Amino acid sequence: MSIINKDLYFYDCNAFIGAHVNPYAPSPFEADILKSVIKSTGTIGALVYNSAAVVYDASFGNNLLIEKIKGNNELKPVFIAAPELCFTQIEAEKYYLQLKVNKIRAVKIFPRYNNFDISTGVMDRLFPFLNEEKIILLANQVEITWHEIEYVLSKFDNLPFLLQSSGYRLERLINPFFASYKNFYLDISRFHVHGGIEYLCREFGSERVLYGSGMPVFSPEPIMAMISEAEISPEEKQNISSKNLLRLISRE
Amino acid sequence: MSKKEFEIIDSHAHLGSFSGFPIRYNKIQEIVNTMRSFGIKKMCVSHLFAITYDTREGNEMTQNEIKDYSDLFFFGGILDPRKSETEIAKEYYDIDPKVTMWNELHPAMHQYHISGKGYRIILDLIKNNPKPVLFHTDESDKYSKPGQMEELIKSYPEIKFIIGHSGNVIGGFEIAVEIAKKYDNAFLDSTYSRNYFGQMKWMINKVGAEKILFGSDMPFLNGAIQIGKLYESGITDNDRQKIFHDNAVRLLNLDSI
Repeated sequence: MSIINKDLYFYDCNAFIGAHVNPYAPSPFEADILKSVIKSTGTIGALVYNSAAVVYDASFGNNLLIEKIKGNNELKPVFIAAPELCFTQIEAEKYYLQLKVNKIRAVKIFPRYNNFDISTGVMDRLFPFLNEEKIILLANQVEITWHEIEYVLSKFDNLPFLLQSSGYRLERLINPFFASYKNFYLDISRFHVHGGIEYLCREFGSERVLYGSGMPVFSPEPIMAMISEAEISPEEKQNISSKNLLRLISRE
Repeated sequence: MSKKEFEIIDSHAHLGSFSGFPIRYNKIQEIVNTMRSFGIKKMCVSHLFAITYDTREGNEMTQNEIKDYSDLFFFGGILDPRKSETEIAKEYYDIDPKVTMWNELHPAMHQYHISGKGYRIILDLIKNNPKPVLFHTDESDKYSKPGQMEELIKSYPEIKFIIGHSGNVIGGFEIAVEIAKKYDNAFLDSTYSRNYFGQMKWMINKVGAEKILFGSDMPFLNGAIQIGKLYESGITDNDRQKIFHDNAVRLLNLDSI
């Protein structure tokens, strides 16, 4: 695949397995399919959750994820969190123990789909654990308000917050977070801005910009091409392609 | 990108700014630099001022900006269906000799249905000297649903129509594909912002690579993204050659470049 810069190696921060809404891709998108796409695109690994944890039940889906990706070292598990899993201190500690046992370095939330609002403090028994261990908190842009993002960034300043699947028209809303919070990170899977990567690197540095594909809903190749072709240094490209994410998950 | 593999002809691009978000690197020399970097040999551009504000002034701006780069750019003319029949005709006759294709007639920005009378007035003029017409389409927008193009495509067989953004969303892609399969004078556009996994390959399988034109939508969108989707698994070099180059040469009556 000649379009992708072969000197770059990619690590995907935004993928999942399971059932999905994309009619052009097989559903459920099983771990072996994801693994074959990863291999064919020269990707070295991916953070992955199971969509059953979002649309059916968080605990059930998280456990299913571990089962489905067992033996696939390229796939790093992401657990879904929901308020009932950390409503009491005991429940929060139990969930945190699950994270430790399964070597989870990223937790994803779907506040809109799962009907909660983190600015009400409903996750505040869990977030201190993530903050302490610098476990990445992931959320899709359409799943969280700017107010909720501000809440988590300002209250848990050691917690890396990674905004995912943010559209190309939202730069004016995103940039203030880059400027104000060192723990704000952006996945560029849907950030299709002309000169956008160049601008982010120039204004805020390349260290908080991360490659993500959005698989199986979206394709990896267009984003790989965008990074490969960006007018930034080879070091900045490698940071975005994988190094930033590897740095964030390396505390396992 | 080892970009010199294909001589890319970009049939859907723009110049200028947009109020909804910042557009950088949009000066003509910056666009030229990006084209060279991506291996784009020729590009059909229209000015975003013509789409968002006024067609007459915007078309003039396009011509002024590209006048020193005639080897690189084609003039994409825009007409506004909301204007009077007299005004439309005047603007049409003023620019038609210089226009290579009509890119992009924009029902969403002009808030005017594709099926409205103004577009019939425009197409009645264009059919006398037919050049390809690219309509913006988006199934999620009430003015620019791709299905509304079918009557026009049927009524004006002498005009080649490009269904801009190929319907733009799931549901819209399916409608656009059915129209492109049904009519010889209907074609699809490769530029859209939602690059669904497997979607480009699906589109090629449905209509054939012969019916799809490459567009970058630069500088509104990132051009490398639009090129990158043609490198999805399962798409062949033969498909890429047609989409990046051959189809535009055929539709726009270009000498091969």
